[in-house]
Amino acid sequence: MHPALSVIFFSTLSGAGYGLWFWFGASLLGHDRDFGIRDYVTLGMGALFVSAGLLSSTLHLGRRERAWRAFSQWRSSWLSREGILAVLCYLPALALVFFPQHGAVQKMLAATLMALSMATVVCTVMIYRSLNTVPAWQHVTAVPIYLMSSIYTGGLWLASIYAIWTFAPVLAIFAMLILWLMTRYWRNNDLPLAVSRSSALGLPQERSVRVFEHPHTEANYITREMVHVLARKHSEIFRECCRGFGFALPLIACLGAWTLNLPWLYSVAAISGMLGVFIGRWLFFAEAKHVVSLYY
Amino acid sequence: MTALPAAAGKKLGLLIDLDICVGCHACAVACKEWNDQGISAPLPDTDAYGVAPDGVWFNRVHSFELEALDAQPASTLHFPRSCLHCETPACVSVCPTGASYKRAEDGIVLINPDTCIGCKLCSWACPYGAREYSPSEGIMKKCTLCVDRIYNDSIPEAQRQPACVQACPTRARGFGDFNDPDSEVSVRSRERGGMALMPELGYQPVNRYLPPRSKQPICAESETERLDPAQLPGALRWLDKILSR
Repeated sequence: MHPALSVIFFSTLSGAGYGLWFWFGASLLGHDRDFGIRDYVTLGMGALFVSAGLLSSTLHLGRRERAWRAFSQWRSSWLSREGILAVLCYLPALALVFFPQHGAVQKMLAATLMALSMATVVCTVMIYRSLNTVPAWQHVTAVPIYLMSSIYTGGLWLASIYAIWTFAPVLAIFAMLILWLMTRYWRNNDLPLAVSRSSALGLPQERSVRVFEHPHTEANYITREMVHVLARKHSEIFRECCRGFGFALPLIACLGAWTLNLPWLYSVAAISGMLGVFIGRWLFFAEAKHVVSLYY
Repeated sequence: MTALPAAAGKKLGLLIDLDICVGCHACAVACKEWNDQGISAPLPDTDAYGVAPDGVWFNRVHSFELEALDAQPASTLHFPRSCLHCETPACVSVCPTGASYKRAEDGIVLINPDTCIGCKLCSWACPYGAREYSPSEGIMKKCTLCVDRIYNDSIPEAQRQPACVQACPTRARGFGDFNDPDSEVSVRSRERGGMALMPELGYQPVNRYLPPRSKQPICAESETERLDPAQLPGALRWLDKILSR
């Protein structure tokens, strides 16, 4: 599939924002406190990530001025559901600014923020998970990878803002779990398509078919959008980069922050983790094979 | 609304005979010509006369090479590909704005150009490559089954069929109601074993493709040629006899 940068930016950046809001909500539930400067920074940073991601995703649209229409089809379309939840998420986040004192209302808003954040991420991945035409995205690991990457990158940012030493082992566990899931996803991604060219052409399975002539001399919309070869050719290098930047480097940095008492290393971990998740997300699109490639 | 209609009154679609299609691209050209002026207009081209011409087409004709199998010789397969007007089209249900819809009365899948936001998700959801993006308008485009011809009172009745069907010089394309068991397309499809493409994906395409017929069997390559003199006319039998001495 064509890896549209606007969409990849969106899911990486908003994912981190929703993850940050998720941890922030969890910390309010677990730890009674009145807001300090760091709490406002966390709320604001989450909003910044989410908004930048959402704005970036609208760059993908041919008609941005009509984007509001996407809120109408929540009964059938995951994209529509995602749009609605993304907007709803702002409500508890904004409301929290007006409830800096700890109490029942603050806890309720925190719980709502956590639930809506994660629901939005689930909708994002369900947009892709629901497409039968890209078999790789059907894999059982797709939803947990999106969800846990969001929590992981959000956690890295939370650790940088609050400089929480004890957070390192939690992040390490997340990193290793995501790595394991991604390895499984990639192994499945490398399998040949279950649908054959014969089936695409309605021929018996045993008949071997080769492309003789394309319907046009140059690339067309379909080949540019669905038939992307570059990532599959160099997939090992990209995967190594994803593993290294996304998980190995942040793990070392977190360990350093924890043992050497250097909190700024958490920020290094966060930036590197985002880069790794970004590469992983790019691969999610660029490596996935669409069944229409069977015609070409 | 992107909900699908409960049951279509008619199931209009195309019947494409792969046995007699010669891959002349007349259907694709006629489609482009009509739809560049009808309700789908424009179907923009970029760099039309330059080094990398590009454009929106609703109908594309692929050519494939079938390898020899058992007694069947190798052959070419010309394969016109357009929207199959599925009964459960994913392109409609993924649409976030409701611009994509399937008509209840005849099952035609259409796009409302006034509400499409050009998110391209429908083209990702289609396994048949039937939807294309128009960069000049920022919206998606697709085959309308020439909805502005088939119900058009201002053209002669014989011409009220999709432009691709009308243009086909070998009559490889048929158009009709697949819900009516006695329609020409239903009967031909039944007789010749009309196929649905990629039925395992579950979108229940309406269009049917008639498979290429079996060709004259060929001798296996290892076998030497044999001549039965009894089959020859008298003069040639005599010649064979003389030369075989």
